[in-house]
Amino acid sequence: MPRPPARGTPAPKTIPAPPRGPRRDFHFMRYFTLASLGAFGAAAAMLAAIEYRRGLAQRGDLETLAAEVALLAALFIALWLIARRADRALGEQARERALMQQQLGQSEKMVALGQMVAGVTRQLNTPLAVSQSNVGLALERLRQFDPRDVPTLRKMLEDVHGSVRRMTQLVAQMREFTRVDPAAGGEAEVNVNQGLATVVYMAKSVMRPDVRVIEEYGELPPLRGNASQLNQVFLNIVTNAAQAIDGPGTVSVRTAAHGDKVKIEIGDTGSGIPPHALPHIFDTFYTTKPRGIGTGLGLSIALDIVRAHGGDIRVETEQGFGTRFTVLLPVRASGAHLRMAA
Amino acid sequence: MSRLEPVPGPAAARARVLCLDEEPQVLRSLQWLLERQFEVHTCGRISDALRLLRAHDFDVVMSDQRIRGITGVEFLRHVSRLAPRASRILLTDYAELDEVSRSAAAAQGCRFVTKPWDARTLPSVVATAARAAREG
Repeated sequence: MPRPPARGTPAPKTIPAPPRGPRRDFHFMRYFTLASLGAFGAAAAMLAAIEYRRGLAQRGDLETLAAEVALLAALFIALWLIARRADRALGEQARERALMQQQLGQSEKMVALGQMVAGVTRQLNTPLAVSQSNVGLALERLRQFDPRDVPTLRKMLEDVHGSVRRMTQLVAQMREFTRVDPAAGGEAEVNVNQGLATVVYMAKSVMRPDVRVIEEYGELPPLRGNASQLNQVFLNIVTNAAQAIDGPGTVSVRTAAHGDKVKIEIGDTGSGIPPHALPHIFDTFYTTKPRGIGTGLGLSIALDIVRAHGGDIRVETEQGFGTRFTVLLPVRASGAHLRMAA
Repeated sequence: MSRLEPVPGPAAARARVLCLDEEPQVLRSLQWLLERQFEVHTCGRISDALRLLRAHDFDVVMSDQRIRGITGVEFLRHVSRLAPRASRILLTDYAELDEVSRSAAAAQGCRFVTKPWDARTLPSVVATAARAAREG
């Protein structure tokens, strides 16, 4: 669906996320080989039958015929063996690739976890600093107790109290962020706005201070899905957005109900995606980040997760103006949805 | 120390310290920690910091790295022009500082204090910085 471009930017280049390539190619090759082999066998059998009838009618030379048939049979067997071996090798390769992808998926999760830990550490740092300093100082002043200090001591402890509350909230948020409902195979009611707010809160702490974040959360119907996986998607896109900005800029996060879907837009005023990179951003192992920072799996995995939820990702970009990712997630058969249908 | 040194008034004797941080609780903590030894001024915004810098002669300027619209390193660079005499301290989560800003801050002679700070040593770091400013 066409969307109006962001304020002050020319109509951006939009691409939908591409269909998955490598697996399809692989199956095509496999079936093509097997089909060609079958066709070859059938042709050889037909040829043998024709030869047999012609030979009987014209010469009755059974020996030549037997030799021809034997040669064809040997050729067929040889080809069949080659094809079977090739097929096995391809199967092996596919399994290895799947395993490697799984392992790298794990390492991408670790990268996401690392970002999260960095974010949480920084968020904890301030209330921790305040608590540590105030408690130490209060103890010291209590050692040489002066009744005139009481109001200050009370204020010190009030600040400690506030800081502890802040740290408790952060822990609760983290728990919510990684929540998986094991009873429904990881599926649970997901509050997209809450997940995004937590992601932004954590991502802010690792952003440059001159990057502004605009958050506009619309009213959304609850959707069923894997909260922890979806939060991983949001964290990836928000982090990418922040990293695309070199100097002062803005990251915007907006959500809205969109028919029977939930629309999440994450935009940045960064450098935009260069035309040569655009077709590849969802490719596995494709990255423009320095070695050791990007695995080239973030967006690839994000797309897999969103597609597994029946949704899709679109990207609009204009060089020098910025990029906007749009994630569409269907509400699916959530309780609210069923009630509406009834 | 010279015996002929005039006896200074209580306010003049204490070094003047400016603290900039966006978190009011942090500013209060710093105030309580330093107020018995120094004359402490605190502010949460760049504009207030610049106003205070023009109004007073500070011995020490301490800033958080994360301030809206600017980094602590950039702010302290402005301070070195506005108040060249003042010692500068960057209060930061050390890991937060990338290599470039770290060396930029070190090159302009900033001191570093990591967050969370040590309540027992921070006053002496500030005292050393103040002494350096007064002795030139």
